[in-house]
Amino acid sequence: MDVVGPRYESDLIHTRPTRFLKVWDLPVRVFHWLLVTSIAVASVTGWLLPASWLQIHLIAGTVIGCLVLWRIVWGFTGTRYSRFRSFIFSARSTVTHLKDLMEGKAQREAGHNPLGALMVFALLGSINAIVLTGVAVLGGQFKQGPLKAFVSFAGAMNYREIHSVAAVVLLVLVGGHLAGVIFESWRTRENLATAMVTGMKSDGFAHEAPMAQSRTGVAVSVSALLAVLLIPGAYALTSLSPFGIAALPRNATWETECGSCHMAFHPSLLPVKSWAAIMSGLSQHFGEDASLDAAAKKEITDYLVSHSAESWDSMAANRLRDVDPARPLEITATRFWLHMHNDIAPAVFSSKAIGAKQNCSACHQDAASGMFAPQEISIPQEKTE
Amino acid sequence: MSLKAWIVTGAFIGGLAVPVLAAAGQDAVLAQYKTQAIAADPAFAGFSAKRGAELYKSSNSAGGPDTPSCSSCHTASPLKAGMTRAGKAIEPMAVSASPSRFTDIAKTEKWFGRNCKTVLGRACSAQEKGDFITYLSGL
Repeated sequence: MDVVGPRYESDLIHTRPTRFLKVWDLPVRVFHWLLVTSIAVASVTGWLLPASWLQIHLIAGTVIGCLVLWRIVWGFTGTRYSRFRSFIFSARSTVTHLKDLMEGKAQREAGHNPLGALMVFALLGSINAIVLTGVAVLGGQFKQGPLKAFVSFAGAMNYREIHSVAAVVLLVLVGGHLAGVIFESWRTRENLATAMVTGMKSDGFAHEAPMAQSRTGVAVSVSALLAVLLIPGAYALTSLSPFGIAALPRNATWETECGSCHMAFHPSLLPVKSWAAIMSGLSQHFGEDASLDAAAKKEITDYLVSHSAESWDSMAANRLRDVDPARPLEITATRFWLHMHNDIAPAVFSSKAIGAKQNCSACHQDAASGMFAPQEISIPQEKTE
Repeated sequence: MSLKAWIVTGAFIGGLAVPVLAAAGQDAVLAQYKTQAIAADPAFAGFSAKRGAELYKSSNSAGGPDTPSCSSCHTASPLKAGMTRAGKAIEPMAVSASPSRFTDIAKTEKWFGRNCKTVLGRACSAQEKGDFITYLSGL
């Protein structure tokens, strides 16, 4: 069997001229294509698909975070062209490279050229920003993940802006990266995308140097150490109580009285003013008489008012505080509720399995908790018999 | 008697006792409405399942626009589960399907108090309540 490339770096110096040079080691190639795949998944689930795909988005984001972390470790321990040291260029050499490019006399680089190197760092930087702000959004908006104890809903809205802007920046950078690869492939008559699959580039570089052996043992040890620290750490943080969400004491009167005609709506789903108005108008309760004796009415009113939307930091509480001034008693008349349900046909609500749009728990498995996590949505399908 | 005979007899008596005890619960509520019905009308001649059925099925315009009839939520058949306008399931109204119906006077009064207003636009009389329970106990 013919060996296509040099088996050892030392071969380059001592043996016959070879046709190909191994540039990208296997970990870098696997990293690259896994990153491409997971970023594609994160982009599609983030930009195009509905929020119920959040779990897939989170898995993709977690994979991306781990990949980038691994790449940083490998940047200090990999073979020559994987190491950051091999593609940190001075400003002067970058400018020189640009000038040479324009004059059509730029040389071919085995690893990243100075412009490509800049792109790699820009890509890694923006991906980092997206992952970190994503974790912050997850913590503040949905009260999930390792930052759920530390980020408020209002904070999460700011992080979400950064997350979105950085994602657009990444999209532009990916476009620039592809353009650079196509341009450089054309200029050097070498398919760089294929090189990222095989790891080989045709030989004969101006700056050829013995390739440093990878320190795989160090890389694996450091990665194992990071995993041992980060995984239990993330779990421990995730088990903390969420920011601005106090445990709701149970109240049997609220549960049975409100729960006899509709699900007992979580107190955090309406502001104090709305609850007070609802409880003082029970004889005309959305077209029905729902009168209570004075003791039960007082107990329920106190309960609803003391745990109202103002006192909770969930997404639902933050958004549903903003009631429609014309219909302040109706959760389903708020701008937020309407916006979140605008692509659901009325027939779905009136289907046998759901019955009415007030029946939150028919689709939101966690409706009783007031959290309404996107992952907990499951719309029952009408059976056609 | 043999052991087997004791068991059979015991099971028979027990089997009889379940509906009898349940009926006893409705009887207590009915007795209260009967007293009230006599007080309202000395000529009161007993509750009627037929009148109860008519009340259950009647269509009214004086109540809420979405609730013209008991059957609006409880469905045309009291043996079947109903659904509130907010999508919550309601156990069947018929005592044979839901034995605890009309056994608690406070609960019974609470729901007559609310739903007579919601459906009929007025309070129900003691006779109407007794007719209604008599109808739903006999299905």
